[in-house]
Amino acid sequence: MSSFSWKKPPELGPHGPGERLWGGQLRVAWEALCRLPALGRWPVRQVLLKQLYFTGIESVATIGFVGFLVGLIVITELNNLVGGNEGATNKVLIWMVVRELGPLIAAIVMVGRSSSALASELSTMVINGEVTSLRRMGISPLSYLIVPRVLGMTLAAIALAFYCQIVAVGTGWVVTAIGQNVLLSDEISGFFEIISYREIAATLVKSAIFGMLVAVVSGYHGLRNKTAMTEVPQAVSQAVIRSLLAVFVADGVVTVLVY
Amino acid sequence: MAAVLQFSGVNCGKINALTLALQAGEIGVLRLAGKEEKSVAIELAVGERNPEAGAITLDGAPLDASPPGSIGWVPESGGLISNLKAWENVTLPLWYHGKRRVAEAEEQANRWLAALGVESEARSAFMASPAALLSTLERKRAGLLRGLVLAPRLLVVDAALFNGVPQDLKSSWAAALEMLAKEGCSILAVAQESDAALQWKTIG
Repeated sequence: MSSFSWKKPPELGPHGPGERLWGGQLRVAWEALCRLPALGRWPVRQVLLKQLYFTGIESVATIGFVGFLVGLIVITELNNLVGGNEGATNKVLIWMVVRELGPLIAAIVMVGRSSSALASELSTMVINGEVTSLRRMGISPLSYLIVPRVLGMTLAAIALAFYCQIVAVGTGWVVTAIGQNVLLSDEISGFFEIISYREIAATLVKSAIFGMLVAVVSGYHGLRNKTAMTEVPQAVSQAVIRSLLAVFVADGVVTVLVY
Repeated sequence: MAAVLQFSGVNCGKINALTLALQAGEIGVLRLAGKEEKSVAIELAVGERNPEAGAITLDGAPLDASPPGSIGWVPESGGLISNLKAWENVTLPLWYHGKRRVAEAEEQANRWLAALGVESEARSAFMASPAALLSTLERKRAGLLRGLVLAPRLLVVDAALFNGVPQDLKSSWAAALEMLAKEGCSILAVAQESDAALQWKTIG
């Protein structure tokens, strides 16, 4: 059977004795990866664009505001601790903001906005028979509903994390420059002397993993078989909690492996 | 002449030894006892489920091997994707299976809307309306239109589509399906005892 199989995928049924939650999610991730060529189809690309807009563009203001607050808080605390020290400022910005908080904050905002929305949207589609209808029209729900969302949320997570880092680091520089009488140009040049390509690559990889995990976990809980609307809040709650858990576990693993 | 759709001694769930043949351009009604049998028969006909015994073929080949978009599906209440507009719903299988270009799809949609009795001035508003805002009747009409525009080799119709539809509309919808059949599409209407009576011959 081709990779565009539109038979009912067994992994999305209710948990049976041989089916484990994490196994099911891994299978959804694997199926989504195998079905990436589905992006060549116009309706799938439309879903991708909508997802990028919803998860990426519509989160810009929130991420910007949170990034600003993080930069402000972290550097204000640091300045209170060690005074005006451009070297310490940059090290803390790289260790805290670039390596950890940027990708993590982007992922948390994404869980709050997109994970819950995705799980509830897909759950409602399952209950209304829309997913069955897709299957019966020869349209694979995994190709049409999951693949573009996984890719969209992965790309959005990378972009949002990068944006959050820029805002937080920039805020940190400005706060230090104003409050501690340090030259902004010295801070910027010092920052680029310290940061390594490895750190930049690691943070991008981390963001991509977070985005993919949130989409897969939420998509899995959204697409699982349901029969009543009362199951929608349960699916949303599980999607949010398990997405957060997955993000923190992945953060721990990547941090230990890379640093 | 070889049958387009052939069920040969199919067993699955509550369906036992079902044999039927549907020729090109033919409309047949498969009437079953209850909801469960009907649901299984639909799943089998659209290739969503494999039979436990027997064989189902489309143009002599297993359903799995049929080209994408060769089977259309018209559900009872439209089966529309609620976050898409009616037009996007109607053309979704076409674009997904890469079957038609925009201009051709528009032309076909216009033709079938006329056949379904939609006035030309009401067509744009209907097609631009989000699926979630359509009435029950409009959702049924959009689902039927999607099947007509797709013009598949085999169109599987849930006969409950006609339940609760006013007689004049029911006649125009049936006439539209007959037009599609004349163009070579085979149509299988799957019904249960409680569904509205249909004028086509019963098979199976």
